[in-house]
Amino acid sequence: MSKIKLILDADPGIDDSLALLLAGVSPEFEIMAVTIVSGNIEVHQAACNAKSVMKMIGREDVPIYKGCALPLKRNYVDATDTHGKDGIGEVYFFKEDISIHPSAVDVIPQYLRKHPNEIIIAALGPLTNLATIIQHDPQVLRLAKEIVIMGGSVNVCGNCSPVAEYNFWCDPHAAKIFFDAHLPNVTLVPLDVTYKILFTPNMREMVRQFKSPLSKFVTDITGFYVDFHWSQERTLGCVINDPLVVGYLLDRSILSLKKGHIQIETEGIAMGESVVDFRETDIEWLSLIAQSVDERKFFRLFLSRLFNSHQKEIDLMIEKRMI
Amino acid sequence: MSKRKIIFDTDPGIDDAVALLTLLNYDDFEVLGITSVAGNKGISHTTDNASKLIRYAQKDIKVYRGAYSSYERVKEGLEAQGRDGGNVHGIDGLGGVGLPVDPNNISPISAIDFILDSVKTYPGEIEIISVGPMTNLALAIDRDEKTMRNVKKVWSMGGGVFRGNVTPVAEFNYWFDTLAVEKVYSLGISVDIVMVGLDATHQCIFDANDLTFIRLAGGEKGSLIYAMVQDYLQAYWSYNKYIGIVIHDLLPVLMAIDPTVCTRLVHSNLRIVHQGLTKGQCIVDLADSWKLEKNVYVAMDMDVRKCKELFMEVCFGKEVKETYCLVFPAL
Repeated sequence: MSKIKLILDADPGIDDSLALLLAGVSPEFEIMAVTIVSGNIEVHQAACNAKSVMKMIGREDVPIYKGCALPLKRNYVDATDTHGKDGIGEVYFFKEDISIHPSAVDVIPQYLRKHPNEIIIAALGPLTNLATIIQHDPQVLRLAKEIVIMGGSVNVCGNCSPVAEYNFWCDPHAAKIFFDAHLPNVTLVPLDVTYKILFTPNMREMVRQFKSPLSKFVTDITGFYVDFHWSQERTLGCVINDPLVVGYLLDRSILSLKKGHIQIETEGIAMGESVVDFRETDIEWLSLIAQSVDERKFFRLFLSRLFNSHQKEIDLMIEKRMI
Repeated sequence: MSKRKIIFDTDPGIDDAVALLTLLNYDDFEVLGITSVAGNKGISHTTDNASKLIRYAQKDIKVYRGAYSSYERVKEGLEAQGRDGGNVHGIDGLGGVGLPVDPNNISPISAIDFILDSVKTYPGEIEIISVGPMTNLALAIDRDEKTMRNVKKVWSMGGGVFRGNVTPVAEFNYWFDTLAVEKVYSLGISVDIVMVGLDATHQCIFDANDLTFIRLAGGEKGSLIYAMVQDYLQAYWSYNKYIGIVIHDLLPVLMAIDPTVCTRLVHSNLRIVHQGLTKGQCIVDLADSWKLEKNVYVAMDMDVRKCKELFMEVCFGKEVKETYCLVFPAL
């Protein structure tokens, strides 16, 4: 069977890094590129993080391209309060030398033209890169086979305001341009489902006990997140949004989806809100919005892929309901 | 009303330490003293560790140094020997957290003298919470059995009816000094002895979620306990495949505070095996097939949720307990 051609557009970021790891170790994917956008952390450090994460799993072969450094209109606000000063938990402070040329916004269209209707784009950060591509060429993203977005919140509270999720809140104008383009084959994975992806202290402790460089890395980068989630919202454990998108691409039964029309508010107190209208059902460009998630299935997949030599222990812990 | 008078007999030990920090925080207990015993570690370590914990808790209580080895070896004047708890409790017995000793809280009076003097001063009032090998109690009985009959109650962590830890059938404290166990339970006809063994303690696993909660919500003490249990976590993963720990010694303390945390307490007869394959096994005649005199109350089932809530409340305060209930909604 042919592999899934994948471009990951991300801002690593703790959960982005976990998403890169999951994608990088999964043989189903042919990762064309990881493209970087400023978000959780600014684009240069985010690119260093992406490169280092891919190195960690022996995927130096995956090219990393930097994209937009700033949101389209708003002043840039990073999420280093959540992710640490280096974007991945203040343990490693990775340094890598990555050129700003060619830019992600040039590279993505090249890949799409070369492999029309074959590439899936997983967008895990603010949509600045994708919106910039649309601004240059309104049609080129239609060559993507599918675009899956982590972002927004529909029927749950946001994480930047009562109604706004970070990726859309960080660059609402980009999100608006993206959804107003009415692209076919767009799937939204909002906080409604990612909130359920809670990497609990029990899981983290189990991973720590696996005692490999990768298990140490995962334990290290999530420590900051655990403390942050506790101090901010009295959540025990850390919500890891982004790997859910990759998990869904590996096993489509993890999410259940519903068609809807997504629009983005760019002004006022609801800035960054993703407004979803589920009433329209027969327009062909409607997006799919994730409604519910099988989190146990996701975590079994996620943990098994990252730590496949510990499959038995993972299954035992699931059976004992410790994770 | 006067407070309940407690003597804590212990071989700290990580779980001993958590039990002690909890005990010292309970207002209705007057802890008369801590008696140390060899077990998880040698007597110097366990005495020092008790001293460290009293100092940390800023209590005006003393440690009374107890037996350096098992009943038989002490009686025969042999040097300390044999297996201790190994490195399950870290090199120093407290998971390497580096608390300082306070030489001023280590009494020159021996544990045996202290126990006997206390019981003579408060006959029928003293409750002994024994969470290490029972050597001190056995030696005190040896010296003055009549006085020891005036102990009000013994809460013992040790033994197990259907499970062991040092061997498939033997628990460490009882296995370490079987003669002492026999001696103490001979008193069980006249003094209530509650055994909280492995059957009960293993029901109450503090998993990494609980421990992380303790670290995040439990202030300085929570962070200390979290740091202290890291070696222990490691050991439980290796031996039991738990993502969590069993704080054995905490459970008799919780039960002494609120006996209703135990949901099945069986009045029965207990005997112990001294040698052979089953050395250290305590045989509890739950079905009363031997028709022997009952000398033990054995805790067989615990209300785990209640145990955890009680621990959070006593060790860290009401507010932390309430947060715990919010974070971990009861099913």
